[in-house]
Amino acid sequence: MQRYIAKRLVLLAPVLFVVSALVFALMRLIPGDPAQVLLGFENTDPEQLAAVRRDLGLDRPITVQFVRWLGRLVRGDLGTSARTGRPIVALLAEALPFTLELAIYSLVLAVLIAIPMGTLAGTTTSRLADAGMQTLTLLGLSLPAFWVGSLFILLFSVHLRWFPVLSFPALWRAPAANLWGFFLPALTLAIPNAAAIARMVRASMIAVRREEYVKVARAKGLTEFLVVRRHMLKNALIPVVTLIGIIAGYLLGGSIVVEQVFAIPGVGRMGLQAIVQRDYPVLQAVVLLVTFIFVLINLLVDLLYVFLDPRIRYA
Amino acid sequence: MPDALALPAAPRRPGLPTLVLRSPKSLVGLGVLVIVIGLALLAPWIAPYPATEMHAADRFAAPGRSYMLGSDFFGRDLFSRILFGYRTSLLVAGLSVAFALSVGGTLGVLAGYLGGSWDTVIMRLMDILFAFPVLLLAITIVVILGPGTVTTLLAIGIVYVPIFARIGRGPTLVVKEQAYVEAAKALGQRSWRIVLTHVMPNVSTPVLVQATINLATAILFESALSFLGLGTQPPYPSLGLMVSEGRNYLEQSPWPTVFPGMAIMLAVLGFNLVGDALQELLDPRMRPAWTST
Amino acid sequence: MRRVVVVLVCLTVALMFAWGGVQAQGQTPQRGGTLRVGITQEILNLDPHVATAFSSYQVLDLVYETLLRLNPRTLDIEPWLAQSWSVSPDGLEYTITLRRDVTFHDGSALDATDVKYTIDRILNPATRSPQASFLAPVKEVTIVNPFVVKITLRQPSASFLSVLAGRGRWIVPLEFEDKVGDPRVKTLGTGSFQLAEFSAGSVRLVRHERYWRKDDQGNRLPYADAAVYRVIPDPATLRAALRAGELDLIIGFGVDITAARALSGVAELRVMTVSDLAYSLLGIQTERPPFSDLRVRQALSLAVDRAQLIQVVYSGRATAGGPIPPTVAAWGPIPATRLPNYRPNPARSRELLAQAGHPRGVSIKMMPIATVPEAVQIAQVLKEQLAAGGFTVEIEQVDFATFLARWRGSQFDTFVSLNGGDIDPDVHLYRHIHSTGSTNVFKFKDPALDQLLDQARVTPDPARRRQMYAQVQQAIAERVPFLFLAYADLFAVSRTAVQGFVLSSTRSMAPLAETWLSR
Repeated sequence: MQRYIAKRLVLLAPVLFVVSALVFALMRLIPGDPAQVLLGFENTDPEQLAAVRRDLGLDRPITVQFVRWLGRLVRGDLGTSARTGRPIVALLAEALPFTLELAIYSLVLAVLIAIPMGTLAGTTTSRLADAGMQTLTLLGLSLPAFWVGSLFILLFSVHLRWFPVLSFPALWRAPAANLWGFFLPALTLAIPNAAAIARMVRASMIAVRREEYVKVARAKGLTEFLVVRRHMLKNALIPVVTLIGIIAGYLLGGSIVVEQVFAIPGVGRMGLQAIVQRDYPVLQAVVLLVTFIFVLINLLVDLLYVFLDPRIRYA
Repeated sequence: MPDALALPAAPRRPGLPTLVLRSPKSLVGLGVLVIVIGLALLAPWIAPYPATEMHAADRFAAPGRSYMLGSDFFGRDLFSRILFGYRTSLLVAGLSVAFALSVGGTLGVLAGYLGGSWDTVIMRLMDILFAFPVLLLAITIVVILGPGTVTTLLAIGIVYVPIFARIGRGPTLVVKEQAYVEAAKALGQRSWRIVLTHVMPNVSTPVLVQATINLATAILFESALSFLGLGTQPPYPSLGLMVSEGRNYLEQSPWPTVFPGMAIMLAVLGFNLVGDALQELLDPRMRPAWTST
Repeated sequence: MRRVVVVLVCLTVALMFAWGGVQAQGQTPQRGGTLRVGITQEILNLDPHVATAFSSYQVLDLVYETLLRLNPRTLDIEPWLAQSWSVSPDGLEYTITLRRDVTFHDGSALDATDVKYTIDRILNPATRSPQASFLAPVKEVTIVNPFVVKITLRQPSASFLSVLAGRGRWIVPLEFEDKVGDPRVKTLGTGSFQLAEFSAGSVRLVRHERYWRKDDQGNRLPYADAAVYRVIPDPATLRAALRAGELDLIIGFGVDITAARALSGVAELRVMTVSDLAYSLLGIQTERPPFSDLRVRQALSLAVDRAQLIQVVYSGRATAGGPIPPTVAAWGPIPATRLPNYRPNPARSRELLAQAGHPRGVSIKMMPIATVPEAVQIAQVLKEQLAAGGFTVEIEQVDFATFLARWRGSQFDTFVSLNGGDIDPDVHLYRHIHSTGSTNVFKFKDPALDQLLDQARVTPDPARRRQMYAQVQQAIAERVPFLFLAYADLFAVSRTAVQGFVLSSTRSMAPLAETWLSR
């Protein structure tokens, strides 16, 4: 198993390299010039434009730009934003806590909702209850997040005043207020994921139920509850863990829409702004960071896999 | 990451009547889909107003006789716009999934069948594509090519390719090892023949299920992109764009936001119901606890 | 006797209520509290001489000050950091006397060296300041004594005082760049508030304890302890936050007429409105066919129904405008109905097109700017209107960066955008219309208009100048460099607890110094 881990870690670097090269290239394909965006509408003086481009290092050939960027990256310097001149590390330090909190909070909510619901659906013998759960989960998967979020704000923040519109004192300063303020965006993000997880839990439960050893255990006379607990749950969780890994990845990038609707200055919104404003350095840093985290999560999930089911072997 | 768990030797795919009879869920889903697709197809004939026609005197009308679901900021009929918006959503979803299915599926089968370095290269490429945050990648593609319906289609299609590659590869690997394939090879049958007669039937089932699911998510994806302003451009209607435009005037009238959102939900639900039913039917292990087998 | 006592008691009670009532309505500003303002664009650059984004201005309005200022209500030019000034008879020398009681945020006093440094900095090519073109007539700045500065111009400039009062010509201290390090993120000015915290999502400003201004009762301004700008890009969320009481004030973007209408019914909110100096326009690439033909441009103008546009997009809360903003009465804005080519006439438009060689009409592209929501709405309405006049419009919606690139390179047929306005007609018009104008992306070259504009900017006599601008307005409407569409009403919404804020046509945030929160 150590060899497997080592192999995976070694593969990490080339993947990241190719991703960053791709992003670098993609960005340059986008029409529109960061220097122009910086100068805005004030004037059309070509000399000023040339000067700003020099400042941003855009006058060098693209390969040179890439190499310079890569060099700085290796030293831990993520560069400065073309738009504001502020160091990107600082910008990320401001934005990342919001996105991370949102992702973790919504994942926790999703799991809290999904596992009991999925377990119930997977083990119930009532056709009606199962159908009901299924309808609910399918509904959860069918709701557009931006729509739900907007309606949540209208109903709960503006009309009922139960939740604040602008979320949040920092987590360490006022944890209760922070969690309360983040509840609506986290819930919005959690709904489709909770639905997906619940369905997977249910499916796993059903699948595992058929396994021979469950029948054997029943034959041995163990009570239903113990059967569920000892044998089914653990194996049922395997595909769920995979799904959670995928979801965690989606959360990081997919929080863009929720961050936009709830005005949360997180990484997703930062990425969106960077694309719109042609802030190449920021976009590269954001995509790299998110990809890195995603790949790491996948690795973790794979390792958990091995832990949960020793029958799985790796070639 | 381990591939999808291998399927047993492919059963013949059951026909539609079997599907419907075995699962009430699919009945509801198919019913919804028929309505949605029907509305979209018939839009030019049943829409009471042209989708972009403005009626300045009737802005923010409540649902009623002249405007079935009300009207928006420009006095345009919401019902008509939703009908035409459905056309966009279904078109983009359908074509993007078709694209991903053909390109991704082919790549996956190729990787599985040819094996060796082909396999490694193709799947590593897919991994890299997979590693990108989905929405960011789609947005970048759209911005490069310029916003619009066609580029949204392409962007979503490209993002979905690795999924179908994975789905295609798994069963291919399994089938490749089967005895009858070895036999066919020994008999001198051409590779592509083998692929067609033996691999495809096994692959088509999971691909079909995945496609249905992806049709649902593609509609959500397209609406998210047009919500962000990157999809179909105004004044042409697109459901996500309508929600985004309506949000600004929620205090005036909630209908321009509520109805398009509900429309999206309905279409997605239809596909999800059908996809679910398919999944249950085709993978016997997925059948719920209360059925006999 | 008892009756007398009763009456006296009643009178006293009545008096107490009356007096208390007067106090409550009364204008005693309360000190303290934080003013929370919602804005839609991120603040990127706080360098007072380089930043041009409106979001930056909103902060700079409070942190820095100019020599003169525009009265927020009347738009008259008033003394500010400059106490008084005199102009030499030939219009070439401006002698400015500074106030003696002004301090910067670091405690140092304002004097003539700071003014000279500021102007030099703006004109220094290394600063790359977009303000340099406004100060181009300046030949030199001399320090007469610690509180008197003399500015010598190369030629008379009728708009120079207006330039000194405008945003962007903010006064910074001597050795400003050394003192602050990075002016994009650090500030040092004389304004009522100073920068405390600056992040992507919000900016926090705190009171400048030694600010020079006092109110009528002699209390030092500003009243509030602090001002916070929250960036909320989504206008719907912005308004929701205001309604929920999490913001005190929103102004301009994010609150248009429809929103203002919807919010005017809400009890705890107050809607303010004033006529805007900014105007919406339909830009035209005059070198590109078919617009290279004057008749086609005139046809375009005749095909537009400004009144209907205003009705649909602005619900009637805008004024069809010509080259001079309707609110700036001093310069004689000619009403739109009396300008040539302004009365909608689609039949005549088709005639002109036919004469120009397009009997079956023309196809054109229209690019609305992404960051202004009205632009898209205007484009949609224009598409319908222009169809009747023989123009088939294809709306091309591009993102901001692409728009900028095309705008700059004049790669467009037409575009819809919003231009900032100014009270001085030269500042308002020259750079867009003159063939050498810095923002003349329309590639418009008309020697006669050039001459008029050049003359008008050096004519000091207001009456004569006014005459010239009357001619300029007619000429612009005749020659159609682009279409002036409408000057919309500007709205701001605040909670009723917010007192003392004056909404200005310039959208200036400086009145926050006199704004207070009643509890």
